[in-house]
Amino acid sequence: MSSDVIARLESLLGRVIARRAVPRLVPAPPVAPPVVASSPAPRAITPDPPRAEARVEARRPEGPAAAPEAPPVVIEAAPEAPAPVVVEAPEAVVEAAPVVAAAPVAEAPKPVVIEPRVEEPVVEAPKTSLPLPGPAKISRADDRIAASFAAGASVSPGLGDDEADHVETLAFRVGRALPKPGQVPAPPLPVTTRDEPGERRSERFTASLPSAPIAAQVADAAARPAPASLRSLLQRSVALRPRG
Amino acid sequence: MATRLHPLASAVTVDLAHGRIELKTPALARAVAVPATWLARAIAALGDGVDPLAKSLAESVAKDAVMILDGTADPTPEEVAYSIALALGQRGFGTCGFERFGDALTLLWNFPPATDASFHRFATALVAKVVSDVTGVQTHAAVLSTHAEGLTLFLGADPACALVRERAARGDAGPQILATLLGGASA
Repeated sequence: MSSDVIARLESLLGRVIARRAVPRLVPAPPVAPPVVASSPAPRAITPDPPRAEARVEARRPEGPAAAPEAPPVVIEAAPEAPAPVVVEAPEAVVEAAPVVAAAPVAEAPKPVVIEPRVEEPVVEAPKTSLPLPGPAKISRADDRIAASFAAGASVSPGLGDDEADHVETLAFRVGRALPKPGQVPAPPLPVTTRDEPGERRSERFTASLPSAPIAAQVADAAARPAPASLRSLLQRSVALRPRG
Repeated sequence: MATRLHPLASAVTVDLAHGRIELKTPALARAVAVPATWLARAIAALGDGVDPLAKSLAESVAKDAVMILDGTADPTPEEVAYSIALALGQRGFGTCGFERFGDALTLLWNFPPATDASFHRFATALVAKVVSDVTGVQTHAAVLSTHAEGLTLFLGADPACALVRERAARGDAGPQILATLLGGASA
């Protein structure tokens, strides 16, 4: 087996490991823009890598197969590196892997350890970087997803922060539709009845004028059944005579 | 209901720049707003001379009420209450309604200018005149009871009203007075 094949296999193996370790990485803030600008993008050997893979590639030191394509990066970028970058990293590291120093990522470039020719840079993890899940965490997440799909869920298993998505998933599993807001039965209203006092069994004829517009008052009065006329009631009242 | 509608929204115009209050009613063109306590004091100062004043004012109120009824034949208690309440309300005299206790008919005057005893004579004279003019039935009135928001006046013949005044002056409650008037039954 030739050395090219071995180097290529090592590069592929390092890429697979990096892909498992860092599924999504946000590009680190440009600590040393001059260095990044001067270095060409170290493309991977794969013809069409996914996007997340390309991000990882941008931070990973070059493997043996890619080294011939961009070897000057290491040498040319070192003298132009700004002072803060040089202070933070040892001299040897800056000379060996200045691209890593320009874009500091904590433990993401693990594949660097695999490659014997590149020393592992000692760079502190930036605060803005995402926590790196270990292979154990990823496997647990895969197990949960697999379990949820095995249980019959064909929608999102709700592993994220979206609680509504999670609730919908649970409802789907029990085979019951979620209640719409308008379908929620309202609590029964209290029924109150107003009883007249026993000693005042009477009729009341009020216009209640100022409490509502006049038109409403007229409509209300028209809707009621017409009682006896006021004249007849008044005549009966006038006919009352005190007894004794 | 055939009563005539009155647009109260434009019935009263308060012109603060000129200090004028105008009523858009046929009977009154301009009004003078005075505190209710002033009116109560003026009525109390009139003494026995309050009857002509009350009857004069009642004619104006009854005229507006009859116009609001608009020729309704034999109006119902609600219709009459509406017309009188509207006429009173346009003058800031409150509102009114009717109650019936057996054969006894009472008028509830809500939010009158005053409720104290010095106002009772004016109130009975005004109400009796208005109801008589609107219904065409000669009637008298007597204050049956006083409550926080108004007065309850009995409408009937003069002997019955005299009994009511006498019992009310003794402090009897309204239902007791009516029970006595109705022969012991509480209706």
